[in-house]
Amino acid sequence: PSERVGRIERYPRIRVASVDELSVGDTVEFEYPLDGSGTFLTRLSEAANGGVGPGDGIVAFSNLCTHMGCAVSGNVESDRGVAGPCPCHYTTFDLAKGGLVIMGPATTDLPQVRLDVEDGDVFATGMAGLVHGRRNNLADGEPVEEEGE
Amino acid sequence: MADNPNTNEVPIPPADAERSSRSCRYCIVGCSYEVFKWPVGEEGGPDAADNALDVDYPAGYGDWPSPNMHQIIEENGQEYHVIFRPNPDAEVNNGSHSVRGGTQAQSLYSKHNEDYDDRLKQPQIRIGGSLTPVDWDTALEVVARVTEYATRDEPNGYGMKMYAYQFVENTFAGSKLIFDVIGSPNFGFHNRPAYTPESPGVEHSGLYDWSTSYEDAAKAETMVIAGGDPYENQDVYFHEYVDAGSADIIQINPRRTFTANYAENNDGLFLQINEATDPVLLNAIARHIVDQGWHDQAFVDEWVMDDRDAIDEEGWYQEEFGMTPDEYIDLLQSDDRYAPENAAEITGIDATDIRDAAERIAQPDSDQTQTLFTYEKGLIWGWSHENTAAMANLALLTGSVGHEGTGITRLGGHQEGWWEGGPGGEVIAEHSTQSFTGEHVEDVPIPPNTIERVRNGEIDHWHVIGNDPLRHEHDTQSLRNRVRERTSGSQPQTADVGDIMAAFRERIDDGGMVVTHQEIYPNSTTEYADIVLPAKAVEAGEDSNHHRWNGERRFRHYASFMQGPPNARPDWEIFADIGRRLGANDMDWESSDDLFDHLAAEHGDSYPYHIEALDEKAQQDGTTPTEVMRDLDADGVRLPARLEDGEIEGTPRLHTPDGEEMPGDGRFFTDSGKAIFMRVDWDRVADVYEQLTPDCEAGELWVTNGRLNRLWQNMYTHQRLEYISKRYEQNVLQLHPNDAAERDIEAGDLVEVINDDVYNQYSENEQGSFTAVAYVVDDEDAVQGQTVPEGLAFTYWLYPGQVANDIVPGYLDPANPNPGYKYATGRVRRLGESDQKDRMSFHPENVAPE
Repeated sequence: PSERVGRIERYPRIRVASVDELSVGDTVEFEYPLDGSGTFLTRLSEAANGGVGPGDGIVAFSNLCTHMGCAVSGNVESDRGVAGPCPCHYTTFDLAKGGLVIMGPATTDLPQVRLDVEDGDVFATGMAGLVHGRRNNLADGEPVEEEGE
Repeated sequence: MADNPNTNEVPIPPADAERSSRSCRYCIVGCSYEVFKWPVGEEGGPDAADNALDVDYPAGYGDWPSPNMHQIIEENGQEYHVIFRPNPDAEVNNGSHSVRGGTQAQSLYSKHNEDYDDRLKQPQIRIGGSLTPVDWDTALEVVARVTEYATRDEPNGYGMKMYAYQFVENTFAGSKLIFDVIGSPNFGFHNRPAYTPESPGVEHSGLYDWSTSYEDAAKAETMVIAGGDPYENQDVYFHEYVDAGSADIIQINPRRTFTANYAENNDGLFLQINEATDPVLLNAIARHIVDQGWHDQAFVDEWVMDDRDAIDEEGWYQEEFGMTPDEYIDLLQSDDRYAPENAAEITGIDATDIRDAAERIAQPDSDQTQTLFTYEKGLIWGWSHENTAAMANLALLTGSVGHEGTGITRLGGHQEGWWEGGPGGEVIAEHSTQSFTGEHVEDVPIPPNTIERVRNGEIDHWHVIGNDPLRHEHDTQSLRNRVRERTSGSQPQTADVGDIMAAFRERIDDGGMVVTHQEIYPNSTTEYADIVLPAKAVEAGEDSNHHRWNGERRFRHYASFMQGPPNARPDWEIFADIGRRLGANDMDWESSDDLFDHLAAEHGDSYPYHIEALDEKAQQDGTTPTEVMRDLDADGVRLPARLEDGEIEGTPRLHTPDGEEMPGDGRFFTDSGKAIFMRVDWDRVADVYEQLTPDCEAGELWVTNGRLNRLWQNMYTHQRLEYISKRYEQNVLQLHPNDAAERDIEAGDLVEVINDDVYNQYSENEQGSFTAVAYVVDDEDAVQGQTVPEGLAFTYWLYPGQVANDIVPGYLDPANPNPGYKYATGRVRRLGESDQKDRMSFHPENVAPE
């Protein structure tokens, strides 16, 4: 708790991946928007809500299931467009439909990272939905470092 | 993008926030929640010492209140934050939650919630064709006067359709009104037309249908799940007990759901049974057990009745259906349809699997079985006697009752709170005009089928409370047509009680009917209602304290924490007001606490839920039963309760060998204290089965129905809750891809299901139909198999406006008139492309961990 900052005012903008280096099924894990906030980026074979890049298939989500906070990144099936079943209580999320719950007890969608593409690179710019464990996505932690800082 | 864009933060309750305890408003598991309430403008800190949650932020596993667990309400000009947190210290759920319970804050009476405008807020009477706001005195005086007129010759002119699941305060007052004050036998529970047991084969065998402890699922070695799916419907029971245990699951279901795949992935069995053939399968399993000598002869000798005369003396049902062990075994072994190879042809299940299931159930290598039998609507809403009796027989045959890891219980829908407030059985016997004649009994009075009485004009005033029979009953399309006819006569033209009654008398004299609807939201029945009485949502914490129990009879105090619509009233208060207007002098309770204290003191011995000990404890401590219950907090007490060394003690499971935990009763609920085998005879239903079976040549399918994880019952809250309803913005029809392709149907198409000949044993068959969005899973995506087999379609059972009951047959067992809701058929045709094609997720919902 001593390292906790009260609340940062805006989401950081960070480079996550290069579009050219992402094939369908690839998954990249990173931390966003605070240090220790696990997220994953993947490329689906279909167009996705909030997707960017080729065919709008690149998406990124919080790694923490919104039911009890277990990690779902080990259960991402990009070719099917789903994350899950979560190893704890088996919630499955639809990655092409904004993290919509397909089945299971989670009480909110899987929080989705806002992305944009600039000069062939994918950037994380914000987040829709509250990450498990948080009162606010930008509170009680250290923000990840933006490039150039 | 994700839901709730306006809830990207959740406030933290300050350390001094008001805390109260209650259980979830939804399913039978009855998870415990803590409710925190504090004024807007105040907030706790992220350190545990600075907040009421005792949590350091960011919160860890299971400690996090999600955005949908928070809402802001307003009372007397002051806004309050409210957080529902799954109670981390509760025995039932240990901090876990389902999607339903975890979102219940979104249905609080709040201007910030989507359902606010829809709440019924004032009494209304249909005047000149439109529901018109009136005052309570006018509305209740009309209810009383129309009841008097409807019962002027005999009490059968009044009918009541009411929930069974609600709270003891409300069900006691409501059943007292109909049975004690009015004296009518015309009572139908919310999901069936008569005052009948839901599991007749279990209850009449002397077993109770909520007899086990949740821990039994964790301690069983074999768990039979028939016609139910705990992952779909009882998430927390599944996770905290089934998944946490190590039982091999035997899942019996026509559909390959999540739990079917979970069973197969974890050394269990999935028996994908042909629709409506369960009695044959269960009898075949029993036959193989007997043939192999795997049954528990010592248990049968000691605890199952073998005296034919004694069985007959238990009652007419036992006389008709009860069997001695010799008669039962002879039935199994003399009918070759129950030989595994022959049963395989009827049920579609390999004889090898039947034998395997029998061995796992009987556990021949063990001294004592550890087999738990569970079932739910897939059995209950079919051949209700045969299906439930066959399960009870298996439990008795294998001695799987009354010790850890065994027993028989329902998986359940809702929590329970039925407390009879009057002489129900006597009233039914005295006033029923329906009777049953069978092989062994003749002309026995039985609880009347009130839906039939609504149709045929015997009920002149139909009082509907907390449900929607015009969508919930069987064959509802024709029922609505009939109710429309019977309510379309003379209409009031002013709000004067005399004018209103003149119109209602004229309508009733012409063969019509008056409908009173007592509810919290409008639904299909409201469209036909003459009088609308707005109720408090006490299950959501409004108005007053209430009590009910969960699937292991865990009785708990639901503490009120908010007011709700100011001009709505709790149901018990409405019943009491009507009762007093009809002459009752013992319905003058001052509060729900007063009512509960009276109930515990004077009527505490309701079978088998004894709560007399609460009053004894209150007298000992100089307090009240209400306060005793409040002090029991989240864990409550599993009924029956008893006082031991000055403290309240509960009963984890019923039917233990010495019965010492059952005050006044023996091991089983019969006069002798022994259980009874029940006759399960496929011949009893085979003719109806043939009539109901779809004509494949004509393109018909079985169209069964059931629950979907996110949706609760008739969706009275969930149809209005964006996060829940966006998963299924319309009803869905799960179709096998081959059946879909034959009909040129793709996922996302809007389809119509038509039954041209909805079976009705009481009147002429009629047509019924409903629409839904086709849910078709690509074979490549169906990584653990298609949920529905060819020839079977599945739909959600109570989606508002798209209800499968419109095609559900009107077959009701003459001995115990419970509808066979699961056994519908229909032809499916494509109407066009729905707006869901790009929005709905069509991924499989049955993928279980490998």
